[in-house]
Amino acid sequence: MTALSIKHVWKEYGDQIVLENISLEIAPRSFVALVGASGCGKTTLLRMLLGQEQPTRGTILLDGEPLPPEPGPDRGVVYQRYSVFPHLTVLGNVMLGPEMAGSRLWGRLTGAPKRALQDKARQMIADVGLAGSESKYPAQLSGGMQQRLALAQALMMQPRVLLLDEPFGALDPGIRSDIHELMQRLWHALPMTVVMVTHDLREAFTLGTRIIALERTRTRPEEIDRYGAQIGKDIAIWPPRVAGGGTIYDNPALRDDPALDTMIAGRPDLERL
Amino acid sequence: MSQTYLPGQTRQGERILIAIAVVLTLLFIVAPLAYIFVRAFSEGWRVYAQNILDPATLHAIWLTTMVAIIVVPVNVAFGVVAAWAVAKHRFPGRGILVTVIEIPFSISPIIAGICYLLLYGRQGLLGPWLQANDLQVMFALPGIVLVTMFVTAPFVAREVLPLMQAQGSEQEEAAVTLGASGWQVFRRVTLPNIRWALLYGAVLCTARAVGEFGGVSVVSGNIRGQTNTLPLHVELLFNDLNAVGAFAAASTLTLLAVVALILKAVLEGKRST
Repeated sequence: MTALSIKHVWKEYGDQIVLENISLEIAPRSFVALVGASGCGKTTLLRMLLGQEQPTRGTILLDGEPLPPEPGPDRGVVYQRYSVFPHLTVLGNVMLGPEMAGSRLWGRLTGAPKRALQDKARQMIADVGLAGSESKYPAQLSGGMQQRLALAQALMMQPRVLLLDEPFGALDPGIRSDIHELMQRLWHALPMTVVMVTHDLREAFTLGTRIIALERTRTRPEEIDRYGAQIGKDIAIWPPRVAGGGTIYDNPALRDDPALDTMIAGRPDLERL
Repeated sequence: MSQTYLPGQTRQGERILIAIAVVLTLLFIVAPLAYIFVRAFSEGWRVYAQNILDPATLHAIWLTTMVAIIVVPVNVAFGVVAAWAVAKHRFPGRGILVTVIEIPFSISPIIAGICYLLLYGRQGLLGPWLQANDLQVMFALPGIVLVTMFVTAPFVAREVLPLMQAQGSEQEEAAVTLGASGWQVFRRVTLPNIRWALLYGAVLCTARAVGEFGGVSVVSGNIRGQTNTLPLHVELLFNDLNAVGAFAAASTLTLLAVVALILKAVLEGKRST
């Protein structure tokens, strides 16, 4: 199972310190929501988990192994925008990742492997609720449907870690709650750990198993460049949600589930409750 | 005072402006072009065909086509590489590169011709070395190709660059997170996004390469049947007082230009959808 371990990570841009000594253990199969004010480094932390940026100091481990210094298929990502490719159909978008992995030179498959991939992609498209839209282009889809497509595209690579950067921030409230349901279903069904950056606390509490709030404690003008954001709050959701299981209230069998132990291990605040 | 207009309604003033525009276009653009064909066919089809099938004219057409076949692919590659470097990367001297790419637009082609003459000519900087190695650049195909390449260098880059800048590199980053290699990112994401602008630039580049006169006239040496391109051949025939021959050759050039314009209009339509 996939655990992320962030150890004493600092991120600096020139003289400016953005993140200061972040240490965080993320249990396998958890759903971590990263919240905090604009510009406090949530997205920077996410980009470091993705491998698009490197920590200035400190290490990030994925299952005990140092994170490779570039994005890879073990980590999927969905952005608020720009995740899907406007020149490809829904089916083309979902097939793109596996196609590029399967054919290093041309990024296109032919024959039986292509048909197998198409079947898999159609299944994935149906799973995110886009059945019937396979041959449409992203411009013909609503914002919510585009984000469903972005999820399908990322999930086709079967990532161990799914990173979400305010994926539902631009959606209308009704559409957002629909896609929240989908997101929960996917998290329960697929063997992945999720880290989501969000501005929406309601969303964080609806979906997460744990909320991490990044905060800048020193904000005077002369301090602001020299002190970065730190972990201000680390809130575990009660009742604990277990991937694939629900909570201990709607599923009493979970009280004895070892997964619950891993999730609350080392968390004295939870044991007290 | 405010007025409302219904579709299709035009006021007197607008009609006059439109009429002026139409008359000026007819007078200064359409009429001279039409006159080329009138004069070319003034002595009938047979004389026209005779002039076109004259060995010197055929050779000029062949030479001009060869130049375009060599120059356009090179400049398409150059334009894409230059635009890619400027739009997607930050490096010292980036601003200078943008300016340098545009130099051929602002320099009179005849100056380009003279520069090449001074560099590669018999008395030029590289002249002795070229002669020692028995390489003929000036007054031969290589010189014509080099000057045409210089004059048409900015066309593709200027079309592709603004588009690439507007698109940013988010999509490329998204493709990298799906495991795309550098070549795959270019092949499956960058190239499809710029394809219409690229073709549009290639059409403009072709039109200019075929029609280039000033720079080529300096370096070609105007040897009939050997280094005479089509525009130079038109001038030569005209100076020979062979009006029908000149206009017949000019008509083929004009036809090429009209084909390029139609292609350009089609591509513009494609690009805006």
